[in-house]
Amino acid sequence: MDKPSASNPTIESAYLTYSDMLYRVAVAELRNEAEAQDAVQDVFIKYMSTMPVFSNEEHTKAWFLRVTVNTCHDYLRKRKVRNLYVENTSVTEDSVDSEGRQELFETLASIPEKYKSTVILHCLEGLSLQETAKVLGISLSAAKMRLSRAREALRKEE
Amino acid sequence: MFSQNQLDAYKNIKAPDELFDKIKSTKPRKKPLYLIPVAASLAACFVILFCTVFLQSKDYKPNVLVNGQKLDSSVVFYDVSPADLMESRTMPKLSVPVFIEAQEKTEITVSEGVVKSDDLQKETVTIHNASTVYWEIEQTVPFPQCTMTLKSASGTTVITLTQNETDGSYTAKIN
Repeated sequence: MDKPSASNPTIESAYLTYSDMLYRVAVAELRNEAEAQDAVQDVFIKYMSTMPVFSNEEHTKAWFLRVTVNTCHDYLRKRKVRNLYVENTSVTEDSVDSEGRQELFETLASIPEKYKSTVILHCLEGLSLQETAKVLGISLSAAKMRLSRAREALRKEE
Repeated sequence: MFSQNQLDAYKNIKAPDELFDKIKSTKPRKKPLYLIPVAASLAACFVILFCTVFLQSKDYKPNVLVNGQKLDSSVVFYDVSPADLMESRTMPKLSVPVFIEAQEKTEITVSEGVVKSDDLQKETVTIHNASTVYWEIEQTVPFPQCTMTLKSASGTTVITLTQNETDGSYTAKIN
Protein backbone atom coordinates (compact mmCIF):
# COMPACT_ATOMS: atom_id res chain seq x y z
CA MET A 1 0.00 0.00 0.00
CA ASP A 2 1.35 3.45 -0.85
CA LYS A 3 2.41 5.53 2.09
CA PRO A 4 0.16 8.59 2.37
CA SER A 5 1.95 11.85 1.76
CA ALA A 6 1.08 15.52 1.57
CA SER A 7 1.11 15.24 -2.19
CA ASN A 8 -1.22 12.25 -2.37
CA PRO A 9 -3.22 11.97 0.87
CA THR A 10 -5.38 8.94 1.60
CA ILE A 11 -9.12 9.54 1.65
CA GLU A 12 -9.08 9.34 5.45
CA SER A 13 -6.33 11.90 5.93
CA ALA A 14 -7.83 14.17 3.26
CA TYR A 15 -11.17 14.01 5.04
CA LEU A 16 -9.61 14.74 8.44
CA THR A 17 -7.68 17.68 7.05
CA TYR A 18 -10.21 19.32 4.75
CA SER A 19 -13.77 18.18 5.52
CA ASP A 20 -14.67 20.94 7.98
CA MET A 21 -13.27 23.63 5.70
CA LEU A 22 -15.06 22.28 2.63
CA TYR A 23 -18.31 21.84 4.53
CA ARG A 24 -18.17 25.44 5.81
CA VAL A 25 -17.60 26.74 2.31
CA ALA A 26 -20.44 24.58 0.93
CA VAL A 27 -22.86 25.72 3.67
CA ALA A 28 -21.97 29.36 2.97
CA GLU A 29 -22.40 28.89 -0.79
CA LEU A 30 -25.64 26.93 -0.63
CA ARG A 31 -27.14 28.08 2.70
CA ASN A 32 -28.57 24.60 3.00
CA GLU A 33 -26.86 21.98 5.14
CA ALA A 34 -28.37 18.93 3.41
CA GLU A 35 -27.17 20.12 0.01
CA ALA A 36 -23.82 21.08 1.51
CA GLN A 37 -23.38 17.49 2.73
CA ASP A 38 -24.18 16.17 -0.74
CA ALA A 39 -21.78 18.63 -2.34
CA VAL A 40 -18.89 17.67 -0.04
CA GLN A 41 -19.67 14.00 -0.61
CA ASP A 42 -19.44 14.61 -4.38
CA VAL A 43 -16.06 16.29 -3.91
CA PHE A 44 -14.58 13.34 -2.04
CA ILE A 45 -16.08 10.87 -4.48
CA LYS A 46 -14.40 12.76 -7.29
CA TYR A 47 -11.15 12.65 -5.34
CA MET A 48 -11.45 8.88 -4.89
CA SER A 49 -12.29 8.39 -8.56
CA THR A 50 -9.51 10.48 -10.04
CA MET A 51 -6.84 10.31 -7.28
CA PRO A 52 -5.04 13.40 -8.61
CA VAL A 53 -1.38 13.81 -7.75
CA PHE A 54 -0.44 17.09 -6.11
CA SER A 55 2.92 18.79 -6.00
CA ASN A 56 2.49 20.13 -2.46
CA GLU A 57 -0.06 20.81 0.26
CA GLU A 58 -0.95 24.22 -1.11
CA HIS A 59 -1.87 22.56 -4.37
CA THR A 60 -3.94 19.94 -2.55
CA LYS A 61 -5.91 22.53 -0.60
CA ALA A 62 -6.50 24.63 -3.72
CA TRP A 63 -7.79 21.60 -5.60
CA PHE A 64 -10.29 20.67 -2.90
CA LEU A 65 -11.54 24.22 -2.54
CA ARG A 66 -11.86 24.74 -6.29
CA VAL A 67 -13.83 21.53 -6.80
CA THR A 68 -16.07 22.37 -3.83
CA VAL A 69 -16.84 25.85 -5.17
CA ASN A 70 -17.54 24.50 -8.67
CA THR A 71 -19.74 21.71 -7.28
CA CYS A 72 -21.75 24.23 -5.26
CA HIS A 73 -22.20 26.43 -8.32
CA ASP A 74 -23.51 23.41 -10.15
CA TYR A 75 -26.01 22.78 -7.36
CA LEU A 76 -27.12 26.42 -7.50
CA ARG A 77 -27.67 26.18 -11.26
CA LYS A 78 -29.77 23.05 -10.83
CA ARG A 79 -31.68 24.72 -8.02
CA LYS A 80 -32.62 27.59 -10.33
CA VAL A 81 -33.82 25.16 -12.97
CA ARG A 82 -35.94 23.31 -10.41
CA ASN A 83 -37.51 26.57 -9.30
CA LEU A 84 -38.48 27.37 -12.85
CA TYR A 85 -40.44 24.17 -13.12
CA VAL A 86 -41.82 24.04 -9.61
CA GLU A 87 -43.57 27.34 -9.20
CA ASN A 88 -44.16 28.90 -5.85
CA THR A 89 -41.91 26.38 -4.16
CA SER A 90 -39.14 28.22 -2.45
CA VAL A 91 -35.91 26.57 -1.53
CA THR A 92 -36.01 26.40 2.19
CA GLU A 93 -32.92 26.36 4.26
CA ASP A 94 -32.38 24.02 7.12
CA SER A 95 -33.48 25.38 10.46
CA VAL A 96 -31.00 27.87 11.71
CA ASP A 97 -29.88 27.20 15.19
CA SER A 98 -28.09 30.34 16.08
CA GLU A 99 -28.54 34.04 15.75
CA GLY A 100 -25.03 34.41 14.38
CA ARG A 101 -25.66 31.88 11.64
CA GLN A 102 -28.97 33.51 10.77
CA GLU A 103 -27.24 36.88 10.39
CA LEU A 104 -24.43 35.26 8.42
CA PHE A 105 -26.90 33.76 5.95
CA GLU A 106 -28.72 37.08 5.60
CA THR A 107 -25.47 38.89 4.84
CA LEU A 108 -24.47 36.24 2.33
CA ALA A 109 -27.89 36.48 0.67
CA SER A 110 -27.27 40.20 0.11
CA ILE A 111 -24.06 39.61 -1.83
CA PRO A 112 -24.46 39.15 -5.60
CA GLU A 113 -23.75 35.55 -6.67
CA LYS A 114 -20.78 36.41 -8.85
CA TYR A 115 -18.89 37.92 -5.92
CA LYS A 116 -19.94 35.45 -3.25
CA SER A 117 -17.21 32.84 -3.65
CA THR A 118 -14.51 35.49 -3.38
CA VAL A 119 -16.06 36.81 -0.19
CA ILE A 120 -16.48 33.34 1.34
CA LEU A 121 -12.91 32.28 0.66
CA HIS A 122 -11.23 35.54 1.64
CA CYS A 123 -13.42 37.06 4.37
CA LEU A 124 -14.83 33.92 5.98
CA GLU A 125 -12.30 31.19 5.30
CA GLY A 126 -9.33 33.52 5.69
CA LEU A 127 -7.45 32.83 2.47
CA SER A 128 -5.24 35.63 1.20
CA LEU A 129 -6.46 37.40 -1.93
CA GLN A 130 -3.64 35.74 -3.85
CA GLU A 131 -4.74 32.29 -2.68
CA THR A 132 -8.38 33.14 -3.34
CA ALA A 133 -7.57 34.22 -6.89
CA LYS A 134 -5.67 31.03 -7.56
CA VAL A 135 -8.44 28.80 -6.22
CA LEU A 136 -11.03 30.58 -8.35
CA GLY A 137 -8.80 30.72 -11.42
CA ILE A 138 -8.94 34.50 -11.69
CA SER A 139 -6.37 37.24 -11.57
CA LEU A 140 -5.48 39.03 -8.35
CA SER A 141 -6.96 42.26 -9.68
CA ALA A 142 -10.21 40.48 -10.53
CA ALA A 143 -10.39 39.13 -6.98
CA LYS A 144 -9.83 42.61 -5.55
CA MET A 145 -12.52 44.02 -7.80
CA ARG A 146 -15.05 41.38 -6.78
CA LEU A 147 -14.38 42.00 -3.12
CA SER A 148 -14.74 45.73 -3.56
CA ARG A 149 -18.03 45.33 -5.43
CA ALA A 150 -19.35 42.94 -2.80
CA ARG A 151 -18.62 45.56 -0.12
CA GLU A 152 -20.36 48.19 -2.23
CA ALA A 153 -23.41 45.96 -2.64
CA LEU A 154 -23.61 45.41 1.11
CA ARG A 155 -23.30 49.12 1.80
CA LYS A 156 -26.21 49.83 -0.52
CA GLU A 157 -28.32 47.27 1.34
CA GLU A 158 -27.83 49.04 4.67
CA MET B 1 -18.27 42.94 6.12
CA PHE B 2 -19.11 40.36 8.77
CA SER B 3 -19.62 40.90 12.50
CA GLN B 4 -17.63 38.86 15.02
CA ASN B 5 -20.87 37.01 15.80
CA GLN B 6 -21.17 35.96 12.16
CA LEU B 7 -17.51 35.00 11.89
CA ASP B 8 -17.77 32.86 15.02
CA ALA B 9 -20.93 31.22 13.68
CA TYR B 10 -19.06 30.42 10.45
CA LYS B 11 -16.07 28.91 12.25
CA ASN B 12 -18.42 26.75 14.33
CA ILE B 13 -19.81 25.02 11.25
CA LYS B 14 -18.50 21.44 11.35
CA ALA B 15 -18.97 18.54 8.99
CA PRO B 16 -21.42 16.04 10.52
CA ASP B 17 -19.95 12.74 11.72
CA GLU B 18 -22.11 10.62 9.45
CA LEU B 19 -20.72 12.33 6.32
CA PHE B 20 -17.52 10.29 6.31
CA ASP B 21 -19.53 7.06 6.54
CA LYS B 22 -21.58 8.14 3.54
CA ILE B 23 -18.42 8.87 1.56
CA LYS B 24 -16.79 5.57 2.50
CA SER B 25 -19.89 3.64 1.55
CA THR B 26 -19.80 5.07 -1.97
CA LYS B 27 -17.84 2.98 -4.41
CA PRO B 28 -15.79 5.11 -6.79
CA ARG B 29 -15.08 4.05 -10.36
CA LYS B 30 -12.20 1.63 -10.24
CA LYS B 31 -9.65 0.81 -12.87
CA PRO B 32 -10.19 -2.69 -14.27
CA LEU B 33 -8.03 -5.30 -12.57
CA TYR B 34 -6.36 -8.11 -14.44
CA LEU B 35 -7.19 -11.51 -13.03
CA ILE B 36 -3.81 -12.86 -14.12
CA PRO B 37 -1.44 -9.92 -13.53
CA VAL B 38 1.76 -11.74 -14.45
CA ALA B 39 0.45 -13.02 -17.75
CA ALA B 40 -1.09 -9.64 -18.50
CA SER B 41 2.21 -7.88 -17.75
CA LEU B 42 4.11 -10.25 -20.00
CA ALA B 43 1.56 -9.75 -22.75
CA ALA B 44 1.84 -5.97 -22.36
CA CYS B 45 5.64 -6.17 -22.54
CA PHE B 46 5.45 -8.22 -25.72
CA VAL B 47 3.05 -5.74 -27.31
CA ILE B 48 5.24 -2.78 -26.37
CA LEU B 49 8.36 -4.56 -27.67
CA PHE B 50 6.62 -5.47 -30.90
CA CYS B 51 5.45 -1.91 -31.43
CA THR B 52 8.86 -0.49 -30.61
CA VAL B 53 10.85 -2.77 -32.88
CA PHE B 54 8.54 -3.24 -35.81
CA LEU B 55 6.32 -0.23 -35.87
CA GLN B 56 8.27 2.71 -34.55
CA SER B 57 9.91 3.73 -37.81
CA LYS B 58 6.60 3.70 -39.67
CA ASP B 59 4.09 4.88 -37.06
CA TYR B 60 6.04 7.06 -34.67
CA LYS B 61 3.99 9.13 -32.26
CA PRO B 62 5.76 11.00 -29.49
CA ASN B 63 4.78 10.54 -25.88
CA VAL B 64 3.00 13.62 -24.60
CA LEU B 65 2.60 14.60 -20.96
CA VAL B 66 0.37 17.42 -19.74
CA ASN B 67 1.32 18.66 -16.29
CA GLY B 68 3.17 15.41 -15.70
CA GLN B 69 0.33 13.11 -16.80
CA LYS B 70 0.85 10.96 -19.89
CA LEU B 71 -1.84 11.32 -22.51
CA ASP B 72 -3.48 8.68 -24.63
CA SER B 73 -6.87 8.25 -26.25
CA SER B 74 -8.65 8.06 -22.91
CA VAL B 75 -9.60 11.26 -21.11
CA VAL B 76 -7.21 12.44 -18.43
CA PHE B 77 -8.00 15.13 -15.87
CA TYR B 78 -5.62 18.00 -16.18
CA ASP B 79 -5.42 19.43 -12.72
CA VAL B 80 -4.63 23.12 -12.92
CA SER B 81 -2.02 23.97 -10.35
CA PRO B 82 -1.72 27.51 -8.97
CA ALA B 83 1.53 27.83 -10.92
CA ASP B 84 -0.37 27.36 -14.20
CA LEU B 85 -2.55 30.42 -13.68
CA MET B 86 -1.25 33.64 -15.11
CA GLU B 87 -2.34 37.00 -13.80
CA SER B 88 -3.49 39.38 -16.44
CA ARG B 89 -5.08 42.78 -16.47
CA THR B 90 -7.52 41.82 -19.15
CA MET B 91 -8.21 38.10 -19.19
CA PRO B 92 -6.97 35.33 -16.94
CA LYS B 93 -4.76 32.84 -18.76
CA LEU B 94 -3.81 29.24 -18.38
CA SER B 95 -0.23 28.26 -19.02
CA VAL B 96 -0.38 24.52 -19.65
CA PRO B 97 2.97 22.72 -19.42
CA VAL B 98 3.18 20.15 -22.23
CA PHE B 99 6.14 17.77 -22.39
CA ILE B 100 6.62 16.33 -25.87
CA GLU B 101 9.04 13.45 -26.21
CA ALA B 102 9.90 14.33 -29.80
CA GLN B 103 12.60 12.33 -31.55
CA GLU B 104 12.61 14.28 -34.79
CA LYS B 105 11.66 17.71 -36.08
CA THR B 106 8.07 18.35 -34.94
CA GLU B 107 5.92 21.29 -35.91
CA ILE B 108 3.41 22.54 -33.32
CA THR B 109 0.20 24.40 -34.17
CA VAL B 110 -2.68 25.31 -31.84
CA SER B 111 -6.30 26.24 -32.46
CA GLU B 112 -6.36 28.63 -29.48
CA GLY B 113 -3.69 30.60 -27.68
CA VAL B 114 0.05 30.48 -28.27
CA VAL B 115 2.85 28.03 -27.58
CA LYS B 116 5.93 29.29 -25.81
CA SER B 117 9.34 27.80 -25.30
CA ASP B 118 10.77 26.70 -21.97
CA ASP B 119 11.98 30.16 -21.05
CA LEU B 120 8.52 31.63 -21.74
CA GLN B 121 10.09 34.44 -23.67
CA LYS B 122 9.24 33.55 -27.22
CA GLU B 123 6.63 31.69 -29.15
CA THR B 124 7.77 28.48 -30.69
CA VAL B 125 6.40 26.35 -33.45
CA THR B 126 9.12 23.75 -33.98
CA ILE B 127 11.01 21.41 -31.67
CA HIS B 128 13.70 18.88 -32.56
CA ASN B 129 13.94 16.75 -29.45
CA ALA B 130 12.16 16.10 -26.15
CA SER B 131 10.97 19.50 -24.90
CA THR B 132 8.56 21.18 -22.54
CA VAL B 133 6.49 23.91 -24.12
CA TYR B 134 3.88 26.13 -22.48
CA TRP B 135 0.50 26.46 -24.09
CA GLU B 136 -0.96 29.81 -23.06
CA ILE B 137 -4.73 30.04 -23.43
CA GLU B 138 -7.08 32.81 -22.35
CA GLN B 139 -9.68 31.55 -19.90
CA THR B 140 -12.69 32.86 -21.76
CA VAL B 141 -16.17 31.83 -20.71
CA PRO B 142 -17.21 29.47 -22.18
CA PHE B 143 -13.78 27.89 -22.53
CA PRO B 144 -13.39 26.66 -26.10
CA GLN B 145 -12.29 23.18 -27.10
CA CYS B 146 -8.59 23.66 -27.85
CA THR B 147 -6.42 21.46 -30.00
CA MET B 148 -2.65 21.20 -30.33
CA THR B 149 -1.38 19.45 -33.46
CA LEU B 150 2.08 17.89 -33.59
CA LYS B 151 3.30 17.17 -37.13
CA SER B 152 6.48 15.34 -38.01
CA ALA B 153 7.70 13.32 -40.98
CA SER B 154 6.38 10.20 -39.31
CA GLY B 155 2.88 11.30 -38.51
CA THR B 156 0.45 13.65 -36.78
CA THR B 157 -0.71 13.72 -33.17
CA VAL B 158 -3.63 15.86 -32.02
CA ILE B 159 -4.13 16.79 -28.36
CA THR B 160 -7.51 18.12 -27.23
CA LEU B 161 -8.02 20.23 -24.10
CA THR B 162 -11.55 20.95 -22.89
CA GLN B 163 -13.23 22.34 -19.80
CA ASN B 164 -16.20 20.66 -18.19
CA GLU B 165 -18.93 23.31 -17.89
CA THR B 166 -20.44 21.61 -14.85
CA ASP B 167 -17.53 21.46 -12.48
CA GLY B 168 -14.88 23.55 -14.22
CA SER B 169 -12.38 20.71 -14.43
CA TYR B 170 -10.09 20.42 -17.44
CA THR B 171 -9.51 17.22 -19.39
CA ALA B 172 -6.98 16.34 -22.03
CA LYS B 173 -6.59 13.46 -24.43
CA ILE B 174 -4.91 12.44 -27.63
CA ASN B 175 -7.28 11.95 -30.56
